[in-house]
Amino acid sequence: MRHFLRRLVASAVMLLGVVLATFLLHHALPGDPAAAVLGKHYTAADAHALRERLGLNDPLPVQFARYVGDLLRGDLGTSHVSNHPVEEDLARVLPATLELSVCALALATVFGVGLGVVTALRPRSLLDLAGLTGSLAGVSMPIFWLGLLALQAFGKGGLLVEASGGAFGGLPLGRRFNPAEFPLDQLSGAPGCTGLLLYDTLFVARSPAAFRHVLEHLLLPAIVLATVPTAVVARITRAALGEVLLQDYIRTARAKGLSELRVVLRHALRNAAIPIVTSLGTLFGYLLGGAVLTETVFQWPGMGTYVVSAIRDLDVRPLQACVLLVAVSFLGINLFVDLSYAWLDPRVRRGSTS
Amino acid sequence: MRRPFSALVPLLLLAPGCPGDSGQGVRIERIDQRSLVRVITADDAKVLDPHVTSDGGNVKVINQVYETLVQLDPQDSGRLLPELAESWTVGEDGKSISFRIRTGVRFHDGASLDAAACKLSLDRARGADFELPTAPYRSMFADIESVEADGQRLVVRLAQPVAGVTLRNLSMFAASIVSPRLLEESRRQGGADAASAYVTAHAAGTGAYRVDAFDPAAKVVRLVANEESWRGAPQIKTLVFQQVLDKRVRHEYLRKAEGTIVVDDVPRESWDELRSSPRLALKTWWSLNVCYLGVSGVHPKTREPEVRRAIQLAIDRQAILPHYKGTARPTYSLVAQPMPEYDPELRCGDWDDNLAVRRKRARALLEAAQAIGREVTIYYPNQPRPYLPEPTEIADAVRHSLKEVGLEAKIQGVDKNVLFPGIATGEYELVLIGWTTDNAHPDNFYGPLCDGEDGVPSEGNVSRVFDPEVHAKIVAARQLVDDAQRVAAYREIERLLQDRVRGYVPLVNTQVALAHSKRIQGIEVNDMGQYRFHAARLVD
Repeated sequence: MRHFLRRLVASAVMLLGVVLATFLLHHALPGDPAAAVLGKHYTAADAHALRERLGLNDPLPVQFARYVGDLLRGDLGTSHVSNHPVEEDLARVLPATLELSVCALALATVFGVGLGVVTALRPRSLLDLAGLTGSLAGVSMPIFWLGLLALQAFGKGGLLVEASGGAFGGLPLGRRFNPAEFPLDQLSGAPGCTGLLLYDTLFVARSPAAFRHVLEHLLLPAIVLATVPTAVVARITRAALGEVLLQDYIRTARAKGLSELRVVLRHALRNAAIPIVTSLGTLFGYLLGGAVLTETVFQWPGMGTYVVSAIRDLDVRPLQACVLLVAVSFLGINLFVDLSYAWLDPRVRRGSTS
Repeated sequence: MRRPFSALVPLLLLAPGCPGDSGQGVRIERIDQRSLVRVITADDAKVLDPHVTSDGGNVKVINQVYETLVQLDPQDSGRLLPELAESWTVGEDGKSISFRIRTGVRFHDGASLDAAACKLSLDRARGADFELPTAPYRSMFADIESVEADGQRLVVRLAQPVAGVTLRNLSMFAASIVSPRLLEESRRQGGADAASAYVTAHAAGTGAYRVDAFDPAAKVVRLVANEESWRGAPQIKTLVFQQVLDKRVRHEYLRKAEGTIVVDDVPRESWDELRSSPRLALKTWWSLNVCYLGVSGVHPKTREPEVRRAIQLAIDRQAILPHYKGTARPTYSLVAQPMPEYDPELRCGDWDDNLAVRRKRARALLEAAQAIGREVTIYYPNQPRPYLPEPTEIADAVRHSLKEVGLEAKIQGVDKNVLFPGIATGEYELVLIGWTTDNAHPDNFYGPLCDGEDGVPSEGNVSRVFDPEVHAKIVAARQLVDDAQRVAAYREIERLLQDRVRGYVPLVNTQVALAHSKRIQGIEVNDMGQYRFHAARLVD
């Protein structure tokens, strides 16, 4: 319990630091937000009036107090470009990023752990070497380059489509869905809808065709986004499992005549799970905040695209809100990971309850 | 056996719309593709309130939804055509314009068009009514003193006899006529931001298309035909706008050319490939734009007239052209080359067509000013523009020209959000930039780029020089209605600016392009690149 409280207090202090950092962030950026709105018709008088309206002419402490006050009221502010409340925008873009990140994390978990287990069971084999090389390549490849490559190969009209002679039709070139094909925007705000299109199309709209359409759009960006986490998870699983497999109790389990599958899954993998779960938690935070490049290449209308747009327009409030949201997610995930240790490792639980 | 996540199961069952939930489903059907066009653009739309925006991505959608009193003739931007005004007359003193408003026109929300509706919109655009979060084009309507409405008759009274310029300003999207019902409703939204957001969310104009879905965060812009358009129902029933930011991905869309598409901001490297495409047509035209090197007349590094003249003489325009891949031509005036005010014969002072001779004179001028070896920096926008497709390479070619005559030039790319304020405060000695006119009138070049008011240069005036004689001539030229007199007046202004102020070096005029499926015919495109679909049709 004390461990939990200590972590909670540390998280609160970090949150305060993040609030201050996000506030100072836009003051560190060069340029005048008014120029983004006024464009080539920028005039000093209009820019001054706009800055006055946004409160940017006030002293920094006054601006900070107002910012914190707004946050405490749950008001994330208004975009000075679209004049739209930021929380409404986030409610639109967050499910898109969440859906993409969760799918990428699921892929990374299944394939990363699988690859890690296989390579750990055959250390220094050709398979292990191939796994290691694959993981290294996965970690090293720039995401935007991989994204463009994937589009060239698997996208509609891509190289593999042409090579297959039309047997493989190719995947969509980007976006979450094609508004020219399915009006899935009509699901937004409809009763029962969550904003997660896989769920909404299947369970609310009950349209298998729309579900398939969404899945096709999701596949390529999710695979590309999953590349780095898959490689990381594979390497961590291999290292952790490799160490556990050398322990005496594993030898004992094998001597008792347990099947290799049972030994690995029931005894070894569970004990190797702490670093894997820790990495998955951190990776989920990375996926939420780091999907910017993938979202840009695939024109995925999520938080990454929203942030890029806000940076381009020096749109202060959306930028602050997104940074804050990612930071809070990281803090929450880390807290969750800490707590999950207790379940995975009884020693931690005993230590925390004593 | 412990099942730690079993606690989540009830939560999942409580989630709305779960299988077995008897809640109502939403019916989603595939959109009919037979009469649908996808418009692929480099910039997205975030705002559909025509009176508060200057962003090109917004304007592309606004142009389909809203209309203006008059419009520029797409075939000849020197001419105006009636739109929501059936006809108009200019008062004898040039200080009033009387419009007869078209009858039987309805807005998308059912409100009727009359002079009072037009007055409400024009008063909002010019800042006489309503509070707006911002109004980038408000200065374009500063000459309007009052707007009077009587039935279908609308009178615009002006402070100066500038009816010609005002009519052109009234053809711009920023003077769009918005439903009066929508505007009155927007007043009740509490604050300028909320009011403008309301206008965006409920956009209602008289255009050939009405908004079916607009969700900027989700990047969804879908318009459907306004079957009651006064022009008649458009043949293309659905328009879907899609932003593709990355030009390589945009190129992929072009290469694959799926369905019926229109692509603007076509990457120049794709033009040749498109010309031989069996499925796509490429429409190119000389834009009403100019790329120029702005030279400060007050910055310590370029303050001496000899230095500015040397820079004018030193630039080799031919060295810049390869970066435009055959889509640009040298230009020698600030006003866009396709406009009648452009003077093809203009060669100021000690100009010589031979570059070597010019550079020799430039070097002599720099020596006289003791400026040989002086370090100067060329600032430029680091994002490509239609007149500056490869900003760094073009800036480097200009740098090379200046080095040839003895100036130690450097280049520095700057974000537009830094560049424009920097120009306004006179921070830069040299700026590589350009301009595309808003209304095809020469005043829209010389006013914002070379003039000012009350002795203060305008914010876009890179030279930071306010010349009273030039100002007087610009003010006088705005009032001219006779074509020949106007052309002569602006040519004289150009000569004066180049000879005396020496605040810029015109470099090139460029082509721009629109690619579209060959199945689409009749897209209306004007010289500024603004397009509309009301007369477009699909052929087999």
